[in-house]
Amino acid sequence: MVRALLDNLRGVSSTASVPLVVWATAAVRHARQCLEEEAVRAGLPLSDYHTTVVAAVLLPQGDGFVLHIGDGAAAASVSLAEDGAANWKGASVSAPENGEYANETFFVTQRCWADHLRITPLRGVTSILLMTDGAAGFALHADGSPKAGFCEAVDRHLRRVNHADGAKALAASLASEKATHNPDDKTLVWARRY
Amino acid sequence: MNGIPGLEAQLEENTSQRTPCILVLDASSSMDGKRIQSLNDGLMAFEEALKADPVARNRVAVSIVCIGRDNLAQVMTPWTDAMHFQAPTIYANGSTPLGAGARLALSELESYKASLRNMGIPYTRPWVLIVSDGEPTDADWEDAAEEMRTAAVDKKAIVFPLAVEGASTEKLAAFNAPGKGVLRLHGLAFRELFVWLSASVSSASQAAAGTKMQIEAPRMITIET
Repeated sequence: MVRALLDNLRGVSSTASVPLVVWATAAVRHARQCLEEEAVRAGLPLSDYHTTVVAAVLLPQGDGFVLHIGDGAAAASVSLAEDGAANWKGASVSAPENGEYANETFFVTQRCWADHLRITPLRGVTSILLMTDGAAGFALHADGSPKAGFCEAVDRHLRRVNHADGAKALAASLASEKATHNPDDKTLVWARRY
Repeated sequence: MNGIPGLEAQLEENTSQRTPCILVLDASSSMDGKRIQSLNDGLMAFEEALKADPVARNRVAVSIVCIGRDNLAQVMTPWTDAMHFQAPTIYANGSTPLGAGARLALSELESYKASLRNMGIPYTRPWVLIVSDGEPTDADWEDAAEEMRTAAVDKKAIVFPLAVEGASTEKLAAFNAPGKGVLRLHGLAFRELFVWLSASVSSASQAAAGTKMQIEAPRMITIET
């Protein structure tokens, strides 16, 4: 499904005349069909493939959007601090969506997925964090605003080191004893504009 | 491998979600003697088990309603995070107004959920454990049982009526969703009961919604449907 979604999202720059929501919905619908076909091939119910979706499409100048179903979150900085790292004040956020209960959320695999597809337009993004629910608890305040301390620590370090060392350090932090008091999945993707 | 410098200090969850767990405990005069001693012993074990569990101590919130004294239902322990929970000592006295206890538990749950919502703290489905060794003595207990039953059916709460020896399992079952039954405690194994409850509610606080519970009840508890 990730591959199908990526293939669909790659077409964004050539479809500027189509309203974003229509285009994004079609991209997710097609990716979901791929998941349905895979479930049929495997002889499993689609519910075995339940997943939330947090995705971002960004053009080289930092414009684009976040596409989001369910919990997890995205935080995108839109300016730089004096030392060249991202400034998280005024960052754009796509916050988690839960049901009444914290462990109830919405999945792309549910029939009602389109009612829960949220699109957040972005302009001039300098750095972006995409994360699942476990990491979102560290990166956002309860009101959904980004926690500058967390976002800055991640962004400043990853800007300084090479890709492999950065990935190892991030994985070590998210697997630390303190981080794992929260048992939820902790996937975090960081990207910056060059 | 070292992590990201300075990140350790930032790994505080914004607001740890809560799993509310309310106990409705029969402290009527029929519980006097060994029964109430075992129940108090069990509550101590509950406190120890919750505090020893790194997830439960942060995520589970506990409240205790007692029924009996002055023939009333009363809040013995207001909502407390598990890490601060101190097991109360309960004294047996009075009748068994189980209906009033159920109503008080539902009202405590609603006000606690409202306060969590106001603070932006997410929560999972609450647990209600109703422990009795007798049968309800209040006149309108059936209406209260229906309110609790509706809460269970509507998934507002997960209800566990627990029958101590001498209890009317039929009347206790009226407090739960149809077919969900009643737990029966054999002997006075309250300690095992509360260690199991701590492990189960901890597991529930981590599970995705709809996940089947994997923790088996100890042998001294059976389920009667």
